[in-house]
Amino acid sequence: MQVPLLTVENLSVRFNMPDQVINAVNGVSFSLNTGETLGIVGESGSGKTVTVLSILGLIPKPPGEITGGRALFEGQDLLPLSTEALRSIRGQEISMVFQDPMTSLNPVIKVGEQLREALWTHNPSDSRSNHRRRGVELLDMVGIPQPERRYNQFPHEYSGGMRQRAMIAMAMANRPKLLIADEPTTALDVTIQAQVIETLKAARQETGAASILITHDLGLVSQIADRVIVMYAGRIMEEGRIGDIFSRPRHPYTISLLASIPSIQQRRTKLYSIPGQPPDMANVPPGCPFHPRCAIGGDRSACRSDSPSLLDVGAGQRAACHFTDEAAIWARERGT
Amino acid sequence: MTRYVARRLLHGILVMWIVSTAVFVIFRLVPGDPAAMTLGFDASPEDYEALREELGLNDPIHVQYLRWMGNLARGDFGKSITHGYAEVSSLVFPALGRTLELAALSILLAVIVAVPLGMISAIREGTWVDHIARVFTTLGFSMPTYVMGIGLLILLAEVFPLLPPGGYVPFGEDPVKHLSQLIMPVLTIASVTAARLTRFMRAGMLEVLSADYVRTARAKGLTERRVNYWHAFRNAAIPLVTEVGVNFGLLVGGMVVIEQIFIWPGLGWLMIQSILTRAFDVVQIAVLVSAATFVIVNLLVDLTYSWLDPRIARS
Amino acid sequence: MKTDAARKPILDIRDITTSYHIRRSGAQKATTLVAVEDVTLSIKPGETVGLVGESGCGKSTLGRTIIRLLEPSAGMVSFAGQDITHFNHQEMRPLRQEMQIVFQDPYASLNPRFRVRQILYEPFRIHGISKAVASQKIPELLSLVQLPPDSLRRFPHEFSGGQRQRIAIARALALEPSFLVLDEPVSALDVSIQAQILNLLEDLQTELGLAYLFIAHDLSVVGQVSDRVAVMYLGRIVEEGPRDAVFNSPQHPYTIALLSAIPDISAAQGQQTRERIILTGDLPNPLDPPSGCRFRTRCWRGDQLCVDQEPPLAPVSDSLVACHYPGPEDSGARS
Repeated sequence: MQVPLLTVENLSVRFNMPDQVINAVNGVSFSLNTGETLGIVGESGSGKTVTVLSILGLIPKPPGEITGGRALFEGQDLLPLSTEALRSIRGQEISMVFQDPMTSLNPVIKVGEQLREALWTHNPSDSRSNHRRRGVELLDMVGIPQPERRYNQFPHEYSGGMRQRAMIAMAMANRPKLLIADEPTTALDVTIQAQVIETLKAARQETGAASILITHDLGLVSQIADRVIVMYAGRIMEEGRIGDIFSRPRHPYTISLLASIPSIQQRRTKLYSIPGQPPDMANVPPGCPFHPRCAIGGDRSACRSDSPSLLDVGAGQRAACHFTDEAAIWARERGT
Repeated sequence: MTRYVARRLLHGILVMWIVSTAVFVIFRLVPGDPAAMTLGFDASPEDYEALREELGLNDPIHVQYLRWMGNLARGDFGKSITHGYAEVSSLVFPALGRTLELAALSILLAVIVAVPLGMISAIREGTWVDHIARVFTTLGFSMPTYVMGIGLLILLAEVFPLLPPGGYVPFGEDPVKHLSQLIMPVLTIASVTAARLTRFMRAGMLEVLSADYVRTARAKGLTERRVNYWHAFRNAAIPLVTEVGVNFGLLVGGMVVIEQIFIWPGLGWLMIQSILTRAFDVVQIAVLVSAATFVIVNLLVDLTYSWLDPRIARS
Repeated sequence: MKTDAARKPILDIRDITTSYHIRRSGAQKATTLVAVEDVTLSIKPGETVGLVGESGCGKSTLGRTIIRLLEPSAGMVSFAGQDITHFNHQEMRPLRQEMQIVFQDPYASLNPRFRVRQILYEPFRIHGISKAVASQKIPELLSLVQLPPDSLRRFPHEFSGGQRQRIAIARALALEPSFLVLDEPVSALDVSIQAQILNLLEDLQTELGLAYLFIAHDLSVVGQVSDRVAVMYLGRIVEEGPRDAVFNSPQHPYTIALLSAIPDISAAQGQQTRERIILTGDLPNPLDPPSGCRFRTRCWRGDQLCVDQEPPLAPVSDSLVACHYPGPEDSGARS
């Protein structure tokens, strides 16, 4: 049995706002093996981003507060670490690529300088010219043409796709063991998205890093992740291998989500649409948070009163639903 | 870049032309012409007529205007009748120099206080440092300069006679006295300006600290110091340059009260004295010079801004 | 298929060109950006035409030109048989009831200080329709977009993104238009809400016989709602045809690349998928488009002919394609 690279146990995070408390993450547990790619899928407000930002101590405190849980990275719990102690993890062991490449690079500092800084902060003894050489190499590795010239340019002189490549170069600079990409292609055009995904895959292969891909795009996850976690209202609804989740989903939320994406293959007469509105995170429904929008559990008292725990439904697949069997039948009938 | 500078220069010249025309119009067309203003109401009609002739006020208005603009263009500011036919420039420019000295020292002190205070206040938002900084800025905002000035005067010249109660001695004559005379006016102006700049710096830093690139910098594993004082500060400092420039420009034209309280013979003091002695020929040039200073400072600020911010096209 | 070949188009545009004059800071002369060039398109009553392309391809500019929020620099726009190309503001007024636009961002397009009742009353007020008629129609609009009646008293910020988009749709429908431009109507919404809005739009179309121009960057969304699809690249239409023709047998290399770039879940579900084609390079600068075919700098089929000559939009099987070497991709193609 392999020891996981990262194990998150029962992580709970809340934001204490002046007029309300938002329970952004509620008892999330998962693990990730070396070299593996985990997808975290969910809609806005599902807690997917907060989960990973908390692991690296990147949520603003206050108002953010980690109320419980552990995050073991190579056996060490990251949550109680001081900012100074986390610093040697960030960018060195675990690095991140963010959603919006337009705002994620500092506009007044040259790209090369920002790249060099990532190298320098973890290897201060190495010479400036070495950092520079490595920086140019990294730009070249992520497919930026004329890396020598580009090294000395400011972010606004880059296109959106190139900025995201530069972010990836920065993230891979110290050959991290884990790369976290938060919606890395959402802000980009379709053809550029495909390029960036290839760059990410190549960078991952080059360094053998494990990765976590956070996205709302089920199609994207299906293409590059080994396993996937589906989140809703700060909880994990379902977890499993890509093939299982996409062909044999057991949670009504996963099933509904899959049924509501249009397919390019054929025009479906009508999409399934999940009724109702996304949950108000300051007022999450009691019991299963998805029950008011669920086609199966809607009126059942079990769903309204008891929050289902994440249980094995076979072959490493887990689902948090009282009626996974009925859900599976419903999925087959829908033909998703 | 040269095009940009050229355009800004043209813009400045246009503003100066409008200001000088406005000054001309105001001083010629308001009731009571310059001759009457100079002589007062009890002058004899003969004297009045002679002065009108001397000043060229009997010429058609467009001739007067062209003469006025022509003289300004050649840098000839004329002579002051009330000041015994002294060159107006010999009165205005030394006064401007004294005002600039006061304004520059005040701004310098204000920046030295405001930048660190605003930054720390933002970085430690909600802590006691922040609260103290905010009390200070609110005080600086709510207290009028003359109250502050008179208060200082009473405290440091009357109750504890540590400093001279105003006046002016040139630096070359007595450096120590010169500097001691500067302390109170500089403190007064700087405290108000510092309050304004601290608030500006704090707001700017707070905005920048929540920017995505600051999060990126943290995620890279940079020290908090580097994140705050390099990544965040560089972005917050750019708009501060504009704010400092605007405040400096405003000070040059807005020191009338302070110079009066501390008897500092700067441009504001000269204006008041000239108004009291009806030296309109001095007043009009003082107004122009103060406007020109403002325009030049703004031009410099814009150029610095485009030099500091790489996003502004330098092509 | 809802199209009826015999029916006359409600909207007909011929050889439309729309340009912007932009001034870059520091530059002395304004440059001309040709955002849309030589576009011809028609939409029949009750039909949905999907317009897809990446950012900067001119699809939104085209949408705005069609409803005459912008004036074209060349070409002709005709609506319901009437040439409206050079209509001024006054002449457009009666037509504004017939054609409406729904924007991407329901946060920005609703006045935050107005209650929903006022938001929905605005179009009636502007067109001088009596309050009595309006107050009878407003609750109907609300039920048309499936919002609860008590919504009228509330402000936009009290609604979720999807509900706000419903309000925006209700407002667009107030004066019973026959044609709607939908400019990225679901791209700001979550997946589950996106399906609700798409279904609502389809229901409204069936119920009211509306014609849509559906502008989006997301091909799968466009494929879901459109009868016909037009693909734009750098201001020009490169392929246009019936939905199934464009999606199942694309002819233009750009369409092929675009379709293959969409991450699709079918592989994970064990179905066969197309080979992926990853385009190299970025979009060329629209201020300085390439000579000849605009797509040639990123195309794998191009040769000297593509550099020299701009390919015209010509019939290829069921579609119109602007390519010197049209045709489906062979299985042995470059990937």
